[in-house]
Amino acid sequence: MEIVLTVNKKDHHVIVEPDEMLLDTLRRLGYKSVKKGCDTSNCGICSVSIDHKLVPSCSYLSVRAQGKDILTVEGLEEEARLIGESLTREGVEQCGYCSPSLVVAIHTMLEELKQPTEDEIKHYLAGNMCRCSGFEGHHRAIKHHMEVNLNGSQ
Amino acid sequence: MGVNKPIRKKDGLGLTMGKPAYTADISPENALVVKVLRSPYAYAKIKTIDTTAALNMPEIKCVLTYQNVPGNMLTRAGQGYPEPSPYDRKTLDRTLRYVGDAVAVVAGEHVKAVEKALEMIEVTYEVLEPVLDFETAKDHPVKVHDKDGTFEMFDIGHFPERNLAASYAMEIGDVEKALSESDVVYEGRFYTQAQSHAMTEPHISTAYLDYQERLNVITSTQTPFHVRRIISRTLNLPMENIRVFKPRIGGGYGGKQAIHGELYVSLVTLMTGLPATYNYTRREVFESTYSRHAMRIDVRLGASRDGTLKVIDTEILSNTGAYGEHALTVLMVAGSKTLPLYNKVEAVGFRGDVVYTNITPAGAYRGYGAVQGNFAIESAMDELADKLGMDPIVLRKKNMIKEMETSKVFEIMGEGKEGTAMTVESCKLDKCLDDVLERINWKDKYPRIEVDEHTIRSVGLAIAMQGSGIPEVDMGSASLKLNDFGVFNLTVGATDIGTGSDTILAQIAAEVLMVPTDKISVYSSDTDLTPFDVGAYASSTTYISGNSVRIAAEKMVEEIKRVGRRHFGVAEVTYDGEFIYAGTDRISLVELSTLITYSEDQEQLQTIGSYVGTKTPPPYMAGAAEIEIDKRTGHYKILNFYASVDCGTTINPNLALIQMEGGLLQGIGMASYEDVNYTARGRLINSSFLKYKVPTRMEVGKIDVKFIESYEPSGPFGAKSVGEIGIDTPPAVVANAIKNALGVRMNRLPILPEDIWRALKNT
Amino acid sequence: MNFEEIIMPATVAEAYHALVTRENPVVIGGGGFIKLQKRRVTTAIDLSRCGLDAIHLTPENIEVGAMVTLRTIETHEEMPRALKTAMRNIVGVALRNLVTVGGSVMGKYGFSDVITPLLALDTHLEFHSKGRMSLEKFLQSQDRTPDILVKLIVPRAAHSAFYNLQLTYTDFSMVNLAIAKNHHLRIAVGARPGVARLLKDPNLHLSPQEILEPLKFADDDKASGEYRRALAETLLADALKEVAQWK
Repeated sequence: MEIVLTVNKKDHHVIVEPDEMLLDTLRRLGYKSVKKGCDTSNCGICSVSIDHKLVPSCSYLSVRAQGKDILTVEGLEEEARLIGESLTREGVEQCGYCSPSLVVAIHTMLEELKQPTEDEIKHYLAGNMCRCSGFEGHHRAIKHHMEVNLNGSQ
Repeated sequence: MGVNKPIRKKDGLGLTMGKPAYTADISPENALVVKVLRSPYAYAKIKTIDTTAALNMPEIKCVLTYQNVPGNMLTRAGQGYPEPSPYDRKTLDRTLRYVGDAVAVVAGEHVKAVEKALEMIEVTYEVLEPVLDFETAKDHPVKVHDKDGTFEMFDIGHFPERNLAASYAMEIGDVEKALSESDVVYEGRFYTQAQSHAMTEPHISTAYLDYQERLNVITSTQTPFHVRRIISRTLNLPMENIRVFKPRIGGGYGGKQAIHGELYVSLVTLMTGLPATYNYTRREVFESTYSRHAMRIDVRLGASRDGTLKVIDTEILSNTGAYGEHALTVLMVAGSKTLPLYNKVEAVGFRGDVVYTNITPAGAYRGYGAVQGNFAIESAMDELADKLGMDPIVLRKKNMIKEMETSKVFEIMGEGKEGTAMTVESCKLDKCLDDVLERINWKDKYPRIEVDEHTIRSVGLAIAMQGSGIPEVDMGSASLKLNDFGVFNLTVGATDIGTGSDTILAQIAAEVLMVPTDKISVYSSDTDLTPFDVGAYASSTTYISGNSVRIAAEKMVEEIKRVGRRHFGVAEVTYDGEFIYAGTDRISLVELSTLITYSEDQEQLQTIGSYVGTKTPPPYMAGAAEIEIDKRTGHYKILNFYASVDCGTTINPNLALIQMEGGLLQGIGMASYEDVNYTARGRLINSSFLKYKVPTRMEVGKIDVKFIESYEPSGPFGAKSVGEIGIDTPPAVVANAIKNALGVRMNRLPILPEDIWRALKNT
Repeated sequence: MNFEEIIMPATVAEAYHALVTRENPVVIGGGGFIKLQKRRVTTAIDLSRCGLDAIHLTPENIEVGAMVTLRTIETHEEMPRALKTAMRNIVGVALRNLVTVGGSVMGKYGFSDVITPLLALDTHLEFHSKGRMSLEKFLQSQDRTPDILVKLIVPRAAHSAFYNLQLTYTDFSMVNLAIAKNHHLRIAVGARPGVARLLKDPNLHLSPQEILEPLKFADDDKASGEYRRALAETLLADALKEVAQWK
């Protein structure tokens, strides 16, 4: 079936299978930041933002995404660079495979929770798996991003 | 300059911003989709297999079975050649030895067609009785490999007729005599589980023929050079016709230190002439790659009344599953990377059998035996202290290895063969131990604090060592090229799998060349374009590959000086990274490199460095945790985990820190909940992230790592390894903390609340 | 799961019509289970365009549309505490933005952290065809007549709380327990591992062991029945301490 998907504010006319998941469609459209992790919506690595909500694209039907605003890290541009610089400042991206979805999750988190506490940050991101880092560096990086990039202090 | 600076990883920003960098991102869009039909039985023989219906589908381009692929024996293990692992499998075999073993390979134009074709392959099986219990596998009437042509490249104790993939024994001094002369003897039995790597990027490989009809393989591997060799030998394909390279890798931890889908995509491409890609499902990652060797470890410790450790005796039964990848070497590391911790003993015994069973194979995984051995030895040390009525810290301090000491074990036990004698020139274990005790405030918290009537807080501790590469086996090499305008290309065989080794190696080069790290572009691990390296394993990259980079860079400095002398016509010049000086004259590197490229005595400066270790200097650490446990349920939470680490110089302190934090959390997962269970018929239960639980960011209150100042003379700028040591201590630390809280010794991993609850009920 | 076609009806009536007339249909709520099941169906009926994602507040009840996501419940200020708490540890924010309360109830999943608090809260269900039914009755019912869940009617409880024990923060519960008090005290225990069961008006003079005695606990690969019972007793003891503070 032919549908129109709005990805990072750009419309794509695309033919999809009725049971095709957004992960596969987005990658087909060239949004390679969206990664396959687990097939069972448990790891968070395929997460994208749809209408400002974080969702697992591996389990989100492409046909359902018609008429919605899909956001991947490619569409975050300057904000992705700032968050990315905060993560790489710690070296915590390591293999990098979970990083694009983490950047999107940090983005939706900061849209939803304006000044989240450390507990709120950890709770919000608990579903975002990372096997390399031990997570401590994520939290140092997010703190830095909020303090320096968002509040302009220091 | 470069070393000991927390600079950003060169690839970091691009990866976080989602640039195409991994195998799936850069594979040809038109590649055939490859999928594998997998055995539903733990042990079976294919009676008949009919692929006609699948092949009749127009979208299907190729079906592979044991009938149309080369029958050469191989080991998947990516190790130095000849490998210390048995050649005990084929690309595809008529005999299927575990649930998930490959039956047939299908390649077609799109996923749906390939999935349909898999269902259309008709197979009849002769179902055999499997061997599932590793404790009864040795000399079991059922043989996993019965006269099926397995062989060893050299003596690894391979006896398939006894279900032994490998076996080993050694003794230093007289163990029984030392035990009989000990005042106090502790004997204990410990079990460790088959942990899964759970790297975020599933295994993936893509093959295509280039315009010269050479086979190119893009693959998510830790060992491109080993993969090239195995493809060549297994598929009877001349080496010169194969190029293997790895793009960015989404994590490995040992799980990609082997050949996985590469043989299948290579065959599909060779047979069809078309590009082909095989992207493992998560279930296949769990079920059909490999996991950690589960072990049963019997420990006997003997000591005199004053706490002098006299003897350590270790007997291990290791479960390698259906195939013997890394069977011998993981077994040996369980001894060689733990026993030297207590080097003053009179006698050491170490024996082990690695048995075949009909389950998912075991293979390389960070820690590689050391984590299993550490759990047993460091749990046993606390028990021995208990029996002696002695503080476990005092017992450790009295017996543990110190700087400028040695252990006979270094000389006797290597990896798959004898080791190399070595004096430990850097060992700050004593400082690590003191530091961790102080930071956790041990004296106020040991052994426990009762918070309320059912909540207890307690502390536990363990020490550990690892190695830095495999001496006289692991070779790394590097090439440096000076370009016009004073910029360098560094090409290395070392495989950056996310650790940041490309960046670290550039830092080492920059330090020698006295230039900013930015002036060095790195390209790594491509069998056509970079020099050889064994790959990313055995904690070798910083030490082995790092030394090769240092050598290449030192040679480059000499080359720069040589052309400087020629330029000025003098006998002596100096160089400071920016300029070459001859008396009062000077020329910048930018200018000189441009001159020799375009106009004056033109030549290309390029140097190569290779390095093989003559020793494997161990990093050391002390780990300690504070836990809170509910004695009604056995439920516990790790409040904080402190680690004090001696890894020599940290080339990049940030990346070393993340290696430690990540390693510790993987160790905590192994200690606490990462569990591997099979049904009675041998099917893996924990084959998805629904069932296999890795730690989230909520599991531990705080992980707090500190590096203790240390300098390893044989390392590049004083560095040792840091990649594996982090994973070693958590299992024993957690077990010791639980003992300190509740008085029960948990001897089986993972330490589940239910098991603690049961142990308490039974006391 | 694979399907050959998907329809996206604009009303519940259309969805219901498709459900009873199409061959081999499946209703898609959140869709979280699509990747988890290996089966082929002909028609998928997607409920996301039927307007079932609204929350309607009345003085006595909170009416939750079947397509309201778990994350919406977690972050909604008026939701009873037990229900909000129960959402927090389900996999992750992304999954909770996908999975719907209706889908969670219709699955009658034994592991569910969603059903247990709803049961303790005396939730009623409204179906398109069958009309209203208590969640308690629905869970025990063997009726497999196809129908579409429209909304859940959750009474505003004066007090409620949710307790569970997990191996990791986002794992399934080894056992879960919800307790709610309006006029009466209701205790629900789930992940036994069977679907949640209700204890109405328990005699609080009895011990947790005695109160839980009528319930069955069984073994699975996560925990033994014996251990589950011990956990439930602990959770109940903690819960009753909290109940003692409720006025």
